[in-house]
Amino acid sequence: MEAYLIAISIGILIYMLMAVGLSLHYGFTGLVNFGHVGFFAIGSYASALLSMQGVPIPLAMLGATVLTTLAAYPLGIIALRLGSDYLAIVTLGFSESVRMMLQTEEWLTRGMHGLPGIPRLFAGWVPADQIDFWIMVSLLVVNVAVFWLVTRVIRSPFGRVIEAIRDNEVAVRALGKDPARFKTRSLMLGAALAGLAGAFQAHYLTFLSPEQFVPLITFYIWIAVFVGGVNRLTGVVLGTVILVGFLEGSRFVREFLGGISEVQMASVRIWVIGMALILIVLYRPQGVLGKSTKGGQS
Amino acid sequence: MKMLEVCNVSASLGGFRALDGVSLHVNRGELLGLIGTNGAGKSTLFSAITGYVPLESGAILFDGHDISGLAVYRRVRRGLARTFQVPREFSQLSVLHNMMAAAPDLSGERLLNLFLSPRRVAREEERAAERAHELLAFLNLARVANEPAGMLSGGQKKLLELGRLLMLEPRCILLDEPFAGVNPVLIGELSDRIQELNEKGMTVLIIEHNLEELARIVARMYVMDRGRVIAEGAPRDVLAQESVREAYMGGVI
Repeated sequence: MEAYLIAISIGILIYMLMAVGLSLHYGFTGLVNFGHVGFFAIGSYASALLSMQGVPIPLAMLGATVLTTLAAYPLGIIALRLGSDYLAIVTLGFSESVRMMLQTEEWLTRGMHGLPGIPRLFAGWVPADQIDFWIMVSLLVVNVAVFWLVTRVIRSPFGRVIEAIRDNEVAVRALGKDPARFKTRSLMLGAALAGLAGAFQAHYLTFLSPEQFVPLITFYIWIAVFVGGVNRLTGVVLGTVILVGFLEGSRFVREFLGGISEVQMASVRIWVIGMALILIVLYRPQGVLGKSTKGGQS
Repeated sequence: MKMLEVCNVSASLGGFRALDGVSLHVNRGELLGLIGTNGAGKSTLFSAITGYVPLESGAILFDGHDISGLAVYRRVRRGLARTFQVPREFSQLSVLHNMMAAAPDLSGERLLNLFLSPRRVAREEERAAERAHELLAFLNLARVANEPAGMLSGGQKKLLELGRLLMLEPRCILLDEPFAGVNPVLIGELSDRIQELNEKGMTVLIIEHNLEELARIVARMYVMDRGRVIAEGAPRDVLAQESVREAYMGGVI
């Protein structure tokens, strides 16, 4: 039971890092990023491949985070000159291109066979049966640090401008600021968090394959952000817990009901996630627990 | 002598020729009016001057330099700023933060500075907040400083637009119907404020339908009709012209 709780906590904390990144994109900057899992994938594979070349794990994770940040830059340059609906399509295309690349570039990623034997975080440093516990603790520390950092960014003049861009980009230009610069920075920072989450994923699972990075993951994260309230960081924490609770809970539901196959249950899960997204966007676009913004037309 | 010069400018909006060879100029330190019927091209002219609408031909000179090819934000940084006919507030930010978002050259807008020089960032924030509070008091918005801007009335949003503009400390401002939706008592006060700014040396170009108020404060005005300038001169002379009467009010003034 304890091992199970630790495993769930690790899942929550990895998703939380990604959700904070997406919240920065969508909740605070208004960027509709449907390709968040692409950054997650780049971080995962980069850290895995680096560490398998003998780079120490902490450095590999750092390198992967930096690489993911840089990967977001050209995407930003191209995409941020587009309107928000185009950005949604471009980012979705981006993450799928990343996944296709992971599938086809077998010399690097072993394609569909997946990448086994990735060094585990803390292996050799702590007893083998305590590794998961320490991974959870390190994720907790990283999340707290990220929370502090992002809060600081949001409450800064930079944060004020990205929120202004979300509310009215035309007016931001009229105030002598270049929205593209701020949006690129926001995209990169959020991508970095997803990359870091990916690095943790790689050294926790020790096995990666392209099908771990399907768009469904992006939409899980969207649910977490939407449930918690799009521009409240504390809401994102709660939203992630609720999301993982739902994903895990549905497993128990199957045990209770009986007669439902795992395949059927997976479909039900996707159906519920999809319906929830549609209903929330229709009725609570600021998020289930988000601040109401009456008079916020424009 | 000339602060802003519009030279034979043409521009189209979705195939419709909204500006058709417009030429006009604003002298340094002048308070100038621009009037015309709805759809005459006044707001489009503002958008062309500030870079929101691309020119088909002609040029915009600001302070003697051709700025026709510059991005919107670069023109603003040179000291040329505008308001919008329909207010564009940052609805979820407080009124105070709307103002502070306009403060120019804050080092805290660069991510690295937040962690490398937090004291400088804090100091600049304080100064920006102080300046914002001053302007909010000047515009009678001090009472709502901490409200989300989306909650303001239409008239208050217009005042906030003007306030945000003043945070930029521009040299030349283009005001698109600053009195529309502002309550009548406040209009007099607002136009006094605009005059005050002008006396301190700011160049002002105003689009306004409130001719009475406009004629009171400007010494010279242009009249536009169907994408062209049809008259120019002192308000009394311009409004007396037959062509203006016909174009502007169907001859009823």
